[in-house]
Amino acid sequence: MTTSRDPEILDRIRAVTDAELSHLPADALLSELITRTKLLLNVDTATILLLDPSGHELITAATAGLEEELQLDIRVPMGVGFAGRVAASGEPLVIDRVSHGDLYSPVLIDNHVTSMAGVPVIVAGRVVGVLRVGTIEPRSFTEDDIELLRLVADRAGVAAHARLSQTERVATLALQRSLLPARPPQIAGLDMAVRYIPGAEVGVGGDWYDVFSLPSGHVGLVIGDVAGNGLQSAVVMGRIRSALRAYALESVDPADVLTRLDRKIQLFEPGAMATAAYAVVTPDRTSVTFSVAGHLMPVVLEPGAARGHLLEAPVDLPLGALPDADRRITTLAVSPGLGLLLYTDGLVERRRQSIDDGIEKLLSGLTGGDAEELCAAATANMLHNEAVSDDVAVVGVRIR
Amino acid sequence: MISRSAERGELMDIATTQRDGTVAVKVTGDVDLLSRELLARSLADAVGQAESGVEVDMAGVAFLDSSGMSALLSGRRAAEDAGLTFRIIAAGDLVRRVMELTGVWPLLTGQGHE
Repeated sequence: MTTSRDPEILDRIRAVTDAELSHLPADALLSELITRTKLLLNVDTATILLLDPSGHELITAATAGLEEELQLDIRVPMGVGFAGRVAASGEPLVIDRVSHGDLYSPVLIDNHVTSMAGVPVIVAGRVVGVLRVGTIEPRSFTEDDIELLRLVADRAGVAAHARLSQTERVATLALQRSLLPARPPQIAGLDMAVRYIPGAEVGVGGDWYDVFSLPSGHVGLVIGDVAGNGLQSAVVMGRIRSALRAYALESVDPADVLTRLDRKIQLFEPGAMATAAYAVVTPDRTSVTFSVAGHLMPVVLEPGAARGHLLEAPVDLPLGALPDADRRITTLAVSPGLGLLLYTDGLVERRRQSIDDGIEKLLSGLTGGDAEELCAAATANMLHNEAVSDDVAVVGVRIR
Repeated sequence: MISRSAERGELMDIATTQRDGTVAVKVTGDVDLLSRELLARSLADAVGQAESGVEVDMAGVAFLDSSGMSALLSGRRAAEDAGLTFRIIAAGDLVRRVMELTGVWPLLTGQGHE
């Protein structure tokens, strides 16, 4: 296809498909690609913008020409301005003579950029960014120009993907570690242990646990699962976790706390969905009150019992599922030696197996021992020799 | 953001048909973290196209976890906001059981909570 064309075009293609570029780190590769694009197309500005994890804004990742002095500080809302339009439509866009409202970047407007061409950066069928070029002198961008932009965008997509996955993984892990301490606090009258195991297929997800003691002497035990994975769901998880703690200070009724949390999620985290089981232990450690929101039932291990059983309690709807969902409580009388296990679905759900079989395996594998042994028995028995696809969180408690 | 479901499309198929204002969505395969976005998008599209309601056939689904469930609940929510009905019309035992244990079966099959 290219052989019949101007040899200059072949050189242009070589310049951006150059294998040497592969050795560069992602950021350097994006800069190099954008510098070459600006030279090859003889334009005044060339920029790659990438969609931020929320999907609402395009952020400049590399730029050459007019916008260089801005130190990559350009953020364009999705659907707005030239780049925003390209990202929203997922199609190339050429404007020979821009008019008022076509541009968002103040630099392009101030410099009287006249002609623009842009293509979406697509990875795995989804728009992840935009590559756009512009000239001050009027110009008609050709099919060949667009074709070259597409080539660069493909190359940039691979680099952007690598950069995003790397940054996201590091940030998500750091956030997760700060939110999920490896050791629960020492609390009088309770022996507690926790586990978090990232999924092999999906990495860090939105599972969380929390254990805290309240000024009244009550103790809160939380297990939850925010839908989704990666940085975005870890961030939402962090906010939900903090909000639950705040409401726990206001009320020792777990249904009341989950109702307030649900309302907060519906209002401030639209689209977010989470399951959770929240338990409140009384100051004298003789009873535990539960409220369960779309979550798998906690396990109760009676003192001296050879196996566990599921808490007998109603399950209400997940958080974020329905406005003003009804929430109920169940109170369990407890005595020293009684064990409790709260867990997320990754512990018991397996492909092509009934969840009842998974739960039965969990229940029959639990026996005596302290909280640490309870968690160890649950995870060792359930995850033995298996690559866990989903992430798993577990809280084990023994009443002292 | 990267959709992993597009890379792992072999895990789940979605077929959508439309008749008399109802959009029928037939889901086959595993609905988990890797395929949830694809399901969520398909259900959002179905809600956008439907005039009276969305019916989801889960009979061919072999695995459903909490992330798959959240996609269904989001679909139901969007349908309700658009004044449409949303119902799961079929599901195998494994999938039904997960929905029963997590308390969402009545809501998603249109029994109660209406």
